[in-house]
Amino acid sequence: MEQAVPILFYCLAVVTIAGGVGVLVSREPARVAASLSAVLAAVTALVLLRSAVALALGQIIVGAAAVGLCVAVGRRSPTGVSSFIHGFAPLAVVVCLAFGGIAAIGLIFGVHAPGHGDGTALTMVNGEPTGNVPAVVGQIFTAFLLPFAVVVLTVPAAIIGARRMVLGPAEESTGEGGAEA
Amino acid sequence: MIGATHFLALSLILLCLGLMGMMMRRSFIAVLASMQLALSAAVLNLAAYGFRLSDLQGQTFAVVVLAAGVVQLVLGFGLAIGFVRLKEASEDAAAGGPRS
Repeated sequence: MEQAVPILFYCLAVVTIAGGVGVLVSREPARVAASLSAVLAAVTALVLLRSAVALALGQIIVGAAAVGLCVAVGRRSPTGVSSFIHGFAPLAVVVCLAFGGIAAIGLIFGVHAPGHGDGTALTMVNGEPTGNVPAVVGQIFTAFLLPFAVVVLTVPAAIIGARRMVLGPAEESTGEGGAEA
Repeated sequence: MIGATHFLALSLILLCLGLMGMMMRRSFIAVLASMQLALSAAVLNLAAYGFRLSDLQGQTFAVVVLAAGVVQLVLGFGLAIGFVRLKEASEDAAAGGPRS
Protein backbone atom coordinates (compact mmCIF):
# COMPACT_ATOMS: atom_id res chain seq x y z
CA MET A 1 0.00 0.00 0.00
CA GLU A 2 2.91 2.36 0.72
CA GLN A 3 4.05 2.13 -2.90
CA ALA A 4 0.70 3.58 -3.97
CA VAL A 5 1.14 6.77 -1.95
CA PRO A 6 3.74 8.42 -4.28
CA ILE A 7 1.64 7.49 -7.33
CA LEU A 8 -1.44 8.95 -5.70
CA PHE A 9 0.49 12.06 -4.69
CA TYR A 10 1.69 12.68 -8.25
CA CYS A 11 -1.80 12.05 -9.70
CA LEU A 12 -3.34 14.48 -7.24
CA ALA A 13 -0.56 17.00 -7.87
CA VAL A 14 -1.33 16.87 -11.60
CA VAL A 15 -5.05 17.41 -10.88
CA THR A 16 -4.20 20.31 -8.53
CA ILE A 17 -1.93 22.06 -11.04
CA ALA A 18 -4.33 21.43 -13.93
CA GLY A 19 -7.18 22.88 -11.85
CA GLY A 20 -5.04 25.91 -10.96
CA VAL A 21 -4.20 26.49 -14.62
CA GLY A 22 -7.92 26.06 -15.40
CA VAL A 23 -8.77 28.85 -12.94
CA LEU A 24 -6.15 31.00 -14.62
CA VAL A 25 -7.23 30.50 -18.25
CA SER A 26 -10.99 29.78 -18.12
CA ARG A 27 -13.28 32.54 -19.34
CA GLU A 28 -16.62 31.04 -18.24
CA PRO A 29 -17.40 31.52 -14.52
CA ALA A 30 -18.81 28.00 -14.35
CA ARG A 31 -15.53 26.56 -15.64
CA VAL A 32 -13.59 28.65 -13.14
CA ALA A 33 -15.81 27.22 -10.37
CA ALA A 34 -15.31 23.69 -11.72
CA SER A 35 -11.53 24.11 -11.82
CA LEU A 36 -11.49 25.50 -8.28
CA SER A 37 -13.63 22.58 -7.10
CA ALA A 38 -11.15 20.15 -8.66
CA VAL A 39 -8.30 21.88 -6.82
CA LEU A 40 -10.18 21.82 -3.51
CA ALA A 41 -11.04 18.13 -3.94
CA ALA A 42 -7.44 17.23 -4.78
CA VAL A 43 -6.11 19.28 -1.84
CA THR A 44 -8.57 17.43 0.41
CA ALA A 45 -7.14 14.11 -0.69
CA LEU A 46 -3.57 15.45 -0.35
CA VAL A 47 -4.07 16.55 3.25
CA LEU A 48 -5.53 13.12 3.96
CA LEU A 49 -2.25 11.67 2.71
CA ARG A 50 -0.64 13.65 5.55
CA SER A 51 -3.13 12.10 8.01
CA ALA A 52 -4.90 15.42 8.52
CA VAL A 53 -8.34 13.86 8.95
CA ALA A 54 -9.89 16.83 10.79
CA LEU A 55 -8.66 19.26 8.16
CA ALA A 56 -9.95 17.08 5.33
CA LEU A 57 -13.31 16.89 7.07
CA GLY A 58 -13.36 20.69 7.20
CA GLN A 59 -12.45 20.89 3.50
CA ILE A 60 -15.27 18.50 2.56
CA ILE A 61 -17.78 20.50 4.63
CA VAL A 62 -16.58 23.78 3.09
CA GLY A 63 -16.69 22.36 -0.44
CA ALA A 64 -20.20 20.98 0.00
CA ALA A 65 -21.35 24.25 1.61
CA ALA A 66 -19.87 26.29 -1.24
CA VAL A 67 -21.68 24.20 -3.85
CA GLY A 68 -24.94 24.39 -1.87
CA LEU A 69 -24.56 28.14 -1.44
CA CYS A 70 -23.99 28.70 -5.16
CA VAL A 71 -27.09 26.68 -6.07
CA ALA A 72 -29.28 28.20 -3.31
CA VAL A 73 -28.28 31.78 -4.10
CA GLY A 74 -28.49 31.16 -7.83
CA ARG A 75 -32.09 30.00 -7.67
CA ARG A 76 -33.16 33.28 -6.05
CA SER A 77 -30.87 35.55 -7.97
CA PRO A 78 -31.93 37.86 -10.81
CA THR A 79 -31.45 36.90 -14.44
CA GLY A 80 -28.07 38.63 -14.61
CA VAL A 81 -26.30 35.70 -13.04
CA SER A 82 -28.53 33.00 -14.48
CA SER A 83 -25.90 31.98 -17.02
CA PHE A 84 -23.47 31.27 -14.21
CA ILE A 85 -26.02 29.29 -12.22
CA HIS A 86 -27.34 27.39 -15.23
CA GLY A 87 -23.79 26.33 -15.97
CA PHE A 88 -23.19 25.49 -12.36
CA ALA A 89 -26.34 23.55 -11.36
CA PRO A 90 -25.58 20.31 -13.28
CA LEU A 91 -21.95 20.81 -12.43
CA ALA A 92 -22.78 20.78 -8.73
CA VAL A 93 -23.72 17.10 -8.87
CA VAL A 94 -20.48 16.20 -10.67
CA VAL A 95 -18.45 18.28 -8.22
CA CYS A 96 -20.11 16.60 -5.22
CA LEU A 97 -19.43 13.17 -6.71
CA ALA A 98 -15.82 14.13 -7.41
CA PHE A 99 -15.42 15.38 -3.84
CA GLY A 100 -16.89 12.18 -2.45
CA GLY A 101 -14.82 9.94 -4.70
CA ILE A 102 -11.50 11.68 -4.18
CA ALA A 103 -12.08 12.02 -0.44
CA ALA A 104 -12.90 8.29 -0.25
CA ILE A 105 -9.71 7.40 -2.14
CA GLY A 106 -7.75 9.77 0.08
CA LEU A 107 -9.25 8.23 3.20
CA ILE A 108 -8.36 4.70 2.06
CA PHE A 109 -4.77 5.59 1.23
CA GLY A 110 -4.43 8.22 3.96
CA VAL A 111 -5.07 5.65 6.65
CA HIS A 112 -2.13 3.66 5.35
CA ALA A 113 0.14 6.63 4.71
CA PRO A 114 3.68 6.42 6.12
CA GLY A 115 3.83 7.74 9.63
CA HIS A 116 0.28 6.84 10.53
CA GLY A 117 0.39 4.75 13.63
CA ASP A 118 4.18 4.61 13.91
CA GLY A 119 4.90 7.44 16.29
CA THR A 120 3.94 10.49 14.27
CA ALA A 121 0.87 12.60 13.69
CA LEU A 122 -1.94 10.38 14.91
CA THR A 123 -0.46 8.29 17.71
CA MET A 124 0.57 11.42 19.58
CA VAL A 125 -3.13 11.98 20.30
CA ASN A 126 -3.54 9.93 23.45
CA GLY A 127 -2.26 6.91 21.52
CA GLU A 128 -5.40 6.70 19.42
CA PRO A 129 -4.66 5.30 15.96
CA THR A 130 -7.99 6.03 14.33
CA GLY A 131 -8.13 9.79 13.93
CA ASN A 132 -7.13 13.16 15.27
CA VAL A 133 -10.44 14.98 15.09
CA PRO A 134 -11.01 15.09 18.88
CA ALA A 135 -7.50 16.43 19.49
CA VAL A 136 -7.87 19.17 16.86
CA VAL A 137 -11.28 20.14 18.24
CA GLY A 138 -9.74 20.20 21.72
CA GLN A 139 -7.00 22.56 20.51
CA ILE A 140 -9.56 24.79 18.81
CA PHE A 141 -11.42 25.21 22.09
CA THR A 142 -8.27 25.87 24.13
CA ALA A 143 -5.24 27.37 22.39
CA PHE A 144 -7.07 28.66 19.31
CA LEU A 145 -10.28 29.75 21.03
CA LEU A 146 -9.96 33.49 20.38
CA PRO A 147 -9.13 33.39 16.62
CA PHE A 148 -11.72 30.69 16.06
CA ALA A 149 -14.39 32.66 17.96
CA VAL A 150 -13.63 35.73 15.84
CA VAL A 151 -13.92 33.74 12.62
CA VAL A 152 -17.08 31.94 13.76
CA LEU A 153 -18.72 35.25 14.62
CA THR A 154 -17.71 36.64 11.24
CA VAL A 155 -19.25 33.78 9.22
CA PRO A 156 -22.96 34.55 10.02
CA ALA A 157 -22.28 38.27 9.55
CA ALA A 158 -20.82 37.51 6.12
CA ILE A 159 -23.75 35.26 5.20
CA ILE A 160 -26.30 37.90 6.27
CA GLY A 161 -24.38 40.60 4.39
CA ALA A 162 -24.11 38.47 1.25
CA ARG A 163 -27.82 37.64 1.39
CA ARG A 164 -28.65 41.32 1.69
CA MET A 165 -26.40 42.15 -1.24
CA VAL A 166 -27.89 39.39 -3.39
CA LEU A 167 -31.57 39.98 -2.63
CA GLY A 168 -31.50 43.73 -2.05
CA PRO A 169 -33.00 45.45 1.03
CA ALA A 170 -36.57 45.87 -0.30
CA GLU A 171 -36.79 42.37 -1.73
CA GLU A 172 -35.44 40.87 1.47
CA SER A 173 -38.09 42.61 3.60
CA THR A 174 -41.05 41.84 1.31
CA GLY A 175 -39.89 38.55 -0.12
CA GLU A 176 -40.84 39.66 -3.62
CA GLY A 177 -38.72 40.28 -6.72
CA GLY A 178 -38.07 43.43 -8.66
CA ALA A 179 -36.16 45.44 -6.08
CA GLU A 180 -33.31 47.69 -7.05
CA ALA A 181 -29.83 47.15 -5.69
CA MET B 1 9.08 8.50 -0.49
CA ILE B 2 6.96 11.61 -0.44
CA GLY B 3 8.26 14.19 2.01
CA ALA B 4 7.46 17.72 3.05
CA THR B 5 9.62 19.04 0.20
CA HIS B 6 7.22 17.59 -2.36
CA PHE B 7 4.29 19.25 -0.66
CA LEU B 8 6.27 22.49 -0.38
CA ALA B 9 6.98 22.45 -4.13
CA LEU B 10 3.33 21.75 -4.95
CA SER B 11 2.07 24.49 -2.65
CA LEU B 12 4.61 26.89 -4.17
CA ILE B 13 3.25 26.17 -7.65
CA LEU B 14 -0.30 26.60 -6.36
CA LEU B 15 0.59 29.89 -4.66
CA CYS B 16 2.25 31.18 -7.86
CA LEU B 17 -0.84 30.24 -9.89
CA GLY B 18 -3.05 32.02 -7.35
CA LEU B 19 -0.91 35.16 -7.38
CA MET B 20 -0.81 35.17 -11.19
CA GLY B 21 -4.59 34.84 -11.28
CA MET B 22 -5.01 37.72 -8.84
CA MET B 23 -2.75 39.96 -10.92
CA MET B 24 -3.74 38.90 -14.44
CA ARG B 25 -7.47 38.25 -14.37
CA ARG B 26 -10.09 40.99 -14.41
CA SER B 27 -13.14 38.80 -13.72
CA PHE B 28 -14.23 39.12 -10.10
CA ILE B 29 -15.04 35.42 -9.76
CA ALA B 30 -11.67 34.44 -11.24
CA VAL B 31 -9.83 36.72 -8.79
CA LEU B 32 -11.86 35.21 -5.95
CA ALA B 33 -10.99 31.69 -7.13
CA SER B 34 -7.32 32.67 -7.37
CA MET B 35 -7.40 33.86 -3.76
CA GLN B 36 -8.84 30.49 -2.82
CA LEU B 37 -5.96 28.79 -4.66
CA ALA B 38 -3.45 30.76 -2.58
CA LEU B 39 -5.31 29.81 0.61
CA SER B 40 -5.29 26.15 -0.45
CA ALA B 41 -1.52 26.37 -0.87
CA ALA B 42 -1.24 27.63 2.71
CA VAL B 43 -3.51 24.85 4.00
CA LEU B 44 -1.46 22.21 2.17
CA ASN B 45 1.76 23.56 3.63
CA LEU B 46 0.39 23.70 7.17
CA ALA B 47 -0.85 20.10 6.90
CA ALA B 48 2.45 18.85 5.44
CA TYR B 49 4.68 20.51 8.03
CA GLY B 50 2.30 19.64 10.86
CA PHE B 51 2.74 16.01 9.81
CA ARG B 52 6.51 16.33 9.51
CA LEU B 53 6.93 17.97 12.91
CA SER B 54 4.29 15.70 14.51
CA ASP B 55 2.50 18.82 15.71
CA LEU B 56 -1.24 19.25 15.54
CA GLN B 57 -1.09 23.04 15.75
CA GLY B 58 -0.49 23.29 12.01
CA GLN B 59 -3.68 21.39 11.32
CA THR B 60 -5.65 23.41 13.84
CA PHE B 61 -4.41 26.68 12.38
CA ALA B 62 -5.29 25.40 8.90
CA VAL B 63 -8.88 24.81 10.08
CA VAL B 64 -9.03 28.47 11.19
CA VAL B 65 -7.58 29.53 7.80
CA LEU B 66 -10.27 27.41 6.13
CA ALA B 67 -13.02 29.16 8.10
CA ALA B 68 -11.57 32.55 7.14
CA GLY B 69 -11.60 31.38 3.52
CA VAL B 70 -15.31 30.63 3.82
CA VAL B 71 -15.96 34.22 4.97
CA GLN B 72 -13.96 35.53 2.03
CA LEU B 73 -15.82 33.27 -0.40
CA VAL B 74 -19.28 34.21 0.91
CA LEU B 75 -18.57 37.93 0.91
CA GLY B 76 -16.93 37.81 -2.51
CA PHE B 77 -19.82 35.90 -4.01
CA GLY B 78 -22.33 38.35 -2.53
CA LEU B 79 -20.29 41.29 -3.79
CA ALA B 80 -20.08 39.80 -7.28
CA ILE B 81 -23.84 39.25 -7.52
CA GLY B 82 -24.53 42.67 -5.99
CA PHE B 83 -22.23 44.25 -8.57
CA VAL B 84 -24.02 42.46 -11.42
CA ARG B 85 -27.38 43.69 -10.07
CA LEU B 86 -26.09 47.24 -9.81
CA LYS B 87 -24.74 47.08 -13.36
CA GLU B 88 -28.05 45.75 -14.69
CA ALA B 89 -30.00 48.44 -12.80
CA SER B 90 -27.80 51.18 -14.25
CA GLU B 91 -28.16 49.69 -17.74
CA ASP B 92 -31.94 49.61 -17.29
CA ALA B 93 -31.94 53.21 -16.13
CA ALA B 94 -29.83 54.19 -19.15
CA ALA B 95 -32.18 52.33 -21.51
CA GLY B 96 -35.22 54.05 -19.97
CA GLY B 97 -36.92 51.06 -18.38
CA PRO B 98 -36.57 47.45 -17.30
CA ARG B 99 -35.62 44.93 -19.93
CA SER B 100 -38.06 42.18 -20.90
